[in-house]
Amino acid sequence: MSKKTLTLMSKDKQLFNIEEHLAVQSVTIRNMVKEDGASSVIPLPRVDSETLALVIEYLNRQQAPEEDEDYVKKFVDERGEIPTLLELAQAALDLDIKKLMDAACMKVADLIKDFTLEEVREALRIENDRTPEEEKAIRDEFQWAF
Amino acid sequence: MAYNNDDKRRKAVCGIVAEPTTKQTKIHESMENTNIPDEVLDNILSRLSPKPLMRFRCASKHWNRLITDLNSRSRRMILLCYGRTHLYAFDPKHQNTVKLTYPFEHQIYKFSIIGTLLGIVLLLLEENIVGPRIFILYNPLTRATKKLPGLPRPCCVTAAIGSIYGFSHGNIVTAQGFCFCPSSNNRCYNRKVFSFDVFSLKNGSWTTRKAAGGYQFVDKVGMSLNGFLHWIVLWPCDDKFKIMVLDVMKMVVTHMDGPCLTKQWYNPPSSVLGTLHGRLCMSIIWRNGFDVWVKEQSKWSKQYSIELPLYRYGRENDRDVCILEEGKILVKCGGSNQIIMCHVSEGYYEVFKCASEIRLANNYKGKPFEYVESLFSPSDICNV
Repeated sequence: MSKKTLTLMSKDKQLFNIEEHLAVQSVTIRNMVKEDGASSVIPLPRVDSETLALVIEYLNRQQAPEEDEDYVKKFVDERGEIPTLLELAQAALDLDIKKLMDAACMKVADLIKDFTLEEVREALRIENDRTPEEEKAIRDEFQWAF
Repeated sequence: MAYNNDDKRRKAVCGIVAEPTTKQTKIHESMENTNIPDEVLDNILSRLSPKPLMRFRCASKHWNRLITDLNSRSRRMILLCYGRTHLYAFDPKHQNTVKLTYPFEHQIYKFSIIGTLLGIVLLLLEENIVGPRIFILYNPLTRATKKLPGLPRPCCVTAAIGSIYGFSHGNIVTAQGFCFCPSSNNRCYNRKVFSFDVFSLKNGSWTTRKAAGGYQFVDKVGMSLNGFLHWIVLWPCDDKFKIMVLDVMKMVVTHMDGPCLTKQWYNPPSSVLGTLHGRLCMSIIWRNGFDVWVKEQSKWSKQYSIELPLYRYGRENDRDVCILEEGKILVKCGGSNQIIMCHVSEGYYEVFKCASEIRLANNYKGKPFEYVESLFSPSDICNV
């Protein structure tokens, strides 16, 4: 069988080519290929081009299976910035690439585990919608965690 | 082929291509980031340990909800007792041991674990041999505690030693009316009637019931199954072992035969009651392994016989055995920090090492106890 190429489109309309046998590591793409051959461009409306480039790089890796774990770990380590990792995790979620999703989330968890409340709110851009009283109640109940 | 409507993700991927406007990437990014999908957040949160997890509950209402709902965090943990007052939580999956602290820890003489409910553990604290018994509800994950009202009547020395306890369907049961003496000629345990004290977590009050007695309890803590508590008991007059069953809702006591009646089989703590796939079972430990008997339709049958060189793992006759859910049996050997987990139906076992300070002091040990981590507060199950 000849090597078929698929085209993925990021949300900012950039096109990326990838060989089909590598692209089907994504369960989402695999299902699409199975159903209708996915001959045309596959749009990824939630993934920006920088993130998609990373995903393509990851899918194109040429690793022996036994070294794969280390590779994935190194891959996310090198992109150790929380916003990038979150984008990557979200892309991996949409494309259903479990290994990449787990590795990215693991890295984020590792980065935030010692953060204070303020730091985690800032890093993950969480809007604080708790009143000071509510916050105090939780702080009092779980004093040992702060 | 027709489109499958169960594949929602596919829709998310190939659905809306038309973005209304092409804003600058920077603005887009910041907007997107306030909207991290719950699947991603769940995945991240499920990898955090209790401490940051509890802390991040304050981050926002949404995070609080996510953390509280995290089903994926329901780890099965094992409580280990060491010495009279030390309590540890052991995570078999990650082979991680954590020392737990609890209230009154430094004032008490000893403690016992009576049971668990929704990830909350019922502890019995004893200030001294005859002193008051304190029951506390304790969540080992959040460390939240709640002290329950004390027993309605004081207990005498002999009664205190012979007291039994149980926890089932939100009811704490303790009986202290019978007593036994270790000396062979003394038959003071054949008291014909004894009293139960029952505390209902729902009503928050104690009531007292009476039941026929005349036997000695081998187990201190009853095994709970479907609202029934089970203790192994010995009839002193004919040296027969039976299982006493207490229907906790009706407070009715019945007795049933065990798998066999020979005395040596019941040499505690070598035999232990538990559940296997929702049925009552009894595990009998030998030097080279153990048998598992299961009760099915009022008949006992030996379902598994496992060979396992237990003598290699610590002192003989000094083991604590706990039958876990999902057909696993846990053996903690005396004088060693090794834990053996036997997968009964799959027919293999694993040896774990927990923290090195957990060895077994000769006389003070308690059965390991399994619980499922939860974020419930003791007040959720008892509001008095």
